[in-house]
Amino acid sequence: MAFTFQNTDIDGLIIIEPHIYTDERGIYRKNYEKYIFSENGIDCDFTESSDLFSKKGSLRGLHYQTVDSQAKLIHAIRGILFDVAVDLRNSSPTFGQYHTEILDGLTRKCVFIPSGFAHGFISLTDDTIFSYQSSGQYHAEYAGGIRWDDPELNIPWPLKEYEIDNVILTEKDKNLATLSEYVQQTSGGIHV
Amino acid sequence: MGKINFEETGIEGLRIVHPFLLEDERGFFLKAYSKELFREAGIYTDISETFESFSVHGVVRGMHYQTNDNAQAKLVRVLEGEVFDVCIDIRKKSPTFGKWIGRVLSAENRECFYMEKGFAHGFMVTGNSALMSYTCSGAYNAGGESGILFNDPDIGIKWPYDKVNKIILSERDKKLKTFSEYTKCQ
Repeated sequence: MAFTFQNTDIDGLIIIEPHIYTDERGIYRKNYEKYIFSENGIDCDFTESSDLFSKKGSLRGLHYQTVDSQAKLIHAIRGILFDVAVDLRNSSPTFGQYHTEILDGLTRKCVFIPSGFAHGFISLTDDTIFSYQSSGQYHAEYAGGIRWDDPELNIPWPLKEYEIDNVILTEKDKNLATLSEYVQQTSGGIHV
Repeated sequence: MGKINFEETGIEGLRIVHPFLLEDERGFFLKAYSKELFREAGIYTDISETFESFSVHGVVRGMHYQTNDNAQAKLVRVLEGEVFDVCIDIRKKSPTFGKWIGRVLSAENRECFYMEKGFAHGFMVTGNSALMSYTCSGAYNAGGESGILFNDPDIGIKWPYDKVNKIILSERDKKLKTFSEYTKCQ
């Protein structure tokens, strides 16, 4: 299997180039094979599989879960997305640092985000499909978030480059805490 | 979190899955698989392999299965386009051995097929194209791959030939065994 795994500046956050095969019928793409991922340092049980269909300018995030924080394997299936993962792991040397990635349905690389991160993405084109599998289970009562435009993080969302005038957010996501408020309210990050 | 709904097909071990759907101003969210919700429905499976295929109009992929110890349970869904999707019960001791179920799966109807180990699976792309997503248990084994001809006369799948203007089949899929040959092998 021709997967490649690439470390990033944040320990545990890994970029994966999937196995792709093309012929006259179309394209076949394998995103995940458990034993190969285990051999390359990604050893978790994925227990949920979901797909998000988004309009251009829709922004989801930055979401985290404090208990049973879910690791995620993510990729774009259609369209272009700008993806962000913020390290909130308690005592992590890269606490508060983030990694961004342009996910493109055509190139289709994947990102593995370990437990203990806040995650979000914006749809840069219309009718995008963002697909992910996650470990653990979603628990609404432990879900939280940091606002997408937090001044301290200052995430470089590529709004101008993709001609996005209005970011589409839910009311909940418009009113998330800042990173500073998060740090004050919690005991120093997510325990994983 | 909302529910995933399951629909019986008349073949034990084969169900139609209706994902949890949540729509809002941003678009919509679909959850097709949850280990917990599947377990509540009596389905015990996990994720060992995930992949996608993009296929042009008229493509037929199938009827594929992995042999014996390599057999995989599969959840199959269409994220873009439309297919006629078919599962054949190839469990030799099953009362429905040799029976098939076909269903239109599309991005519009959002239905998925869940099949236990012991089914051969395939589809015909009836839309302009189709993007399929697969979530499988068990380990993929290239040596354990096999299949049955999609147009085997003993199985008698009623493919919607009126919906396609050509058939595109790989060289490998043209040479799969017949159901009669499958029945005779170990």
